[in-house]
Amino acid sequence: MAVKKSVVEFLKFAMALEVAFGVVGLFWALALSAAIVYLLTYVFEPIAGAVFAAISAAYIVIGYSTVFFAYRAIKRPELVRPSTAILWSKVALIAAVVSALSANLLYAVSSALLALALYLYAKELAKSSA
Amino acid sequence: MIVEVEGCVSSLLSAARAPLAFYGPSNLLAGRFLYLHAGDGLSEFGAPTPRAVEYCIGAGRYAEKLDPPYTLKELLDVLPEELREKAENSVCLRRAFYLSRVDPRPLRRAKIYVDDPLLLFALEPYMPAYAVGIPGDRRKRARCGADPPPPPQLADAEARIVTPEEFVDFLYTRDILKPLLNPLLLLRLLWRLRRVL
Repeated sequence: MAVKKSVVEFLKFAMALEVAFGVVGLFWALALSAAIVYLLTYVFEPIAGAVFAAISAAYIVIGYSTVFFAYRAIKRPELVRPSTAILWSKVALIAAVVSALSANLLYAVSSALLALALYLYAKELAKSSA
Repeated sequence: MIVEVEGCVSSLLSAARAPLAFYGPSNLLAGRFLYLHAGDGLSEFGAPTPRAVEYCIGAGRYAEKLDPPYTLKELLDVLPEELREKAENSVCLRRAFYLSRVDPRPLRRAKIYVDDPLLLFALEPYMPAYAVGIPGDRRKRARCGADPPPPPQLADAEARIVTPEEFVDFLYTRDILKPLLNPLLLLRLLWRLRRVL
């Protein structure tokens, strides 16, 4: 049984959205967190700046890695395996939650869409290869 | 991990806490056991452990490269040429794929006896697995208890094999919901945090 075309198209759409909004949203997040780290370090405590820098670095690494995954997979979605789809869906979900908390709404929406698309794709792959 | 046991296996089985899975001669059982068997079925999607793949076609080390869940096609892609044909025609491997989708949730509070090694390999990721007659990762010599072990009581049960889609759901939610579904774990975590703060 072949994989449903609509699911693949939805995955491609979500990946394109992730790449577009991810690059913009994360660049904005990078600039904002640099400003906040500067403020925290010089106005308050250097430790507070370091802690905030570590947290935002983790977030930006997670964000850019999902963007990079989407960028690589968008051309050949058939190379995405069920296990990678589940893994990256979870990572995208984390990125979406953190983005929503930090008011990075466009990127939050695109990551949530990517998480959903990857989850549906994993289920579709499972159904077609049973 | 499979523990190969020898010595007074009956004493070990009666003293051990549930859940556990045991494969071996049924005259070694002691106490209440669930005799688990699975219905017919073959599949090409699941998460057979490397040990199950090793048992069927002798290619366990190639299966270690794959993360669960995977398909038969993915496994064929990582196999060398000479093993590929063997894997393509293997009924045992398809059975291992099918049984690897066993639902462990109803079996959390039971001691399970299986007479099919493939079912033992399928249960191994979820509970301690003891075996007599299968070489394990660890060997244990069971000591005899002071009291004679209780007579065996077997209750029949059919293993629930989930559909591929349910299996994806299971793997997806397992890591996220595990601490939330286990309030004891959460409380212990909070307790430890309270001592630190």
